[in-house]
Amino acid sequence: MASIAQPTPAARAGRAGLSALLALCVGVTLTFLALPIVALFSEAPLLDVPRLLGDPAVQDTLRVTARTNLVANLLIIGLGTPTAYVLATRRFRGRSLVVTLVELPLVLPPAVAGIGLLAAFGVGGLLGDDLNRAGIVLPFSEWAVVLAVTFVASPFFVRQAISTFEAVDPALTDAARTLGASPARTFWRISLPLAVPGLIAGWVLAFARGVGEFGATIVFAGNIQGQTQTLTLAVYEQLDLSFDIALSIGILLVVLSAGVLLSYKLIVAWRDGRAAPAPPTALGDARSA
Amino acid sequence: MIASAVGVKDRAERLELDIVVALRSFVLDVALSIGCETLALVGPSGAGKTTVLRAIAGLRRLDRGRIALGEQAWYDSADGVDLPPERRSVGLVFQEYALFPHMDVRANVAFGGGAQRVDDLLSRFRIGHLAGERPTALSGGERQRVALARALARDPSVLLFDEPLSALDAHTRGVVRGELQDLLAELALPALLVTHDFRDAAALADRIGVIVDGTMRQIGTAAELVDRPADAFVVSLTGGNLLEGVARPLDGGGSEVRLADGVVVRSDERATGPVNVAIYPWEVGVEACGTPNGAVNAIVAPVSGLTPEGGRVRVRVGSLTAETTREEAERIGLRRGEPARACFSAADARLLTIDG
Repeated sequence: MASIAQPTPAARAGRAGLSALLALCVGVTLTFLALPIVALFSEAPLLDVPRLLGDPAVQDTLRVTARTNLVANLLIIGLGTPTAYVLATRRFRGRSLVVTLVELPLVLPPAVAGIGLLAAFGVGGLLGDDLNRAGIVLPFSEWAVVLAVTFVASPFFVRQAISTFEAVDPALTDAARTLGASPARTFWRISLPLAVPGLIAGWVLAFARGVGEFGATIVFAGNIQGQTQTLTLAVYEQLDLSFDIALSIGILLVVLSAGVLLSYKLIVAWRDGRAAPAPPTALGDARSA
Repeated sequence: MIASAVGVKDRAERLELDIVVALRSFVLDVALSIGCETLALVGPSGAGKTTVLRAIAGLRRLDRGRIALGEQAWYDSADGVDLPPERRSVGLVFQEYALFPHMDVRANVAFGGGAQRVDDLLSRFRIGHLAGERPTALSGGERQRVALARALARDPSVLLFDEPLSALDAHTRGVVRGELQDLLAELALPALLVTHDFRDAAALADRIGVIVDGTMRQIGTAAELVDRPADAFVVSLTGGNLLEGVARPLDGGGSEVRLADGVVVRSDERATGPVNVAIYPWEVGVEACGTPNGAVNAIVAPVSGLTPEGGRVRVRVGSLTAETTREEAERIGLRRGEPARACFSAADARLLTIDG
């Protein structure tokens, strides 16, 4: 009979086997995830990347991406913040249904989002004919890119914004009211400033998703250079024309994405760091309560 | 000095309220009239005390009723009046103070307006040196003073306090209680404070309302509650002993109560049927067994607890808590586990009938 303190050789072997298996899983996962990134950098002509990105076609693409994403992000923040505030602070029948609707684009296949937008705004669509008569043609225009990006990226911001506003201690907004602040002043002076770090974190995610948008854009806006071709669409098109340009755009997007992820983590750490030593009424406790 | 900083009103108006609101498991139905005095609402948690405060401040929707300061109605379900919180002249001090974490002390105090008063208030509450600090950097007592200064910055006509001392440690509590006493006395405004601690209420308030399950059980001064407790809850809230038994009126006046353990005690009050005998610890004397004794009521039991409190000792004899001086306890030689005799007079034994 083996003593209790000393594991049997069989048990020791079993434990070693488990460790090896776990190490293998971790190794395979990390390799698989890192390989495309490493390949991107090793295959691309790194020294030529600045010149390749200076290509007029790429410049067009950069401009379209920047313009459309800027407008889309303004729309997401401008409309999403008040929407999130209302959904976070009001209780009404059908609220969870509304929240689900807001989150739906998260799980909707982007191509489906694109076809949906086309069905809504395209010729013969739900609103398309009325818009057409008014002289507004959205599909395959730069505005179509804006709508596609807004549709697909907004839930990343709104979802985060809702939980951020929910985390603002109601005692603080109540205190503001009893101190003479109107609901509007309470929002601007209390709720919004306390929510800013969370809103930025949500915006960073929405921005990353927007820049990476592909499926909805190509269905609803097409792939027209100088008008609707964004960076991701350009990667797709340059596969046939110039693999080096495609790789260069890829590197640009990897750097951008990594930067976005890093800044997101920094913002979250900053926010948590700010909330941690706070008094019981501050964000920290409201969340744990 | 405080008058200049805090702005004592020439003529404070009465706060009248008569409100009804359905809470989860009972209906809160409270009517109060508060003049230039401090009224404490005391009761178990969940009794509806905080709801009363929130209703006055306009933070809680009501089913019906009326809240008015002097002639001005803040809420009147009959006339459809319901002023928003910012139009009600209240200073509400929140339980955890609810200081704005993203503003420094000065900005917190200045939030309610009156930039010029801010300096006066900061110095009045001895927080001038903390003006640039964030609330997170403050101690509990300092936060409390910031919360008070902030609530007063708007020159309110009514003061509301939600558990003003519960967020403080025992040491700070005593100091802040004293400060609050002085402040309330000098402001001379209708003030309503909510607490679950009878001693805090007795120290701070002129009158105490005992609220249980949404209804006012009794309202009066601390002394009145102790002298004539309306029911068993008021007795236990005020720290009294309760002995359950069955009463029988005596021919010569008074009653005889047979307690659950068979001991019979006498009271000067008359009652029949199931009763609670209420006696306060300071009305109970403790003696060693065997000492000749002429007291009417005596309960002999082992001492089950000895708790020193300042110069006094709380002695637990059987199910009865008595209070005596430390010298007396030492003279008698009270020891845990050894029998002692707890005595009280028939005059002090109040009888509270138990309904159904």
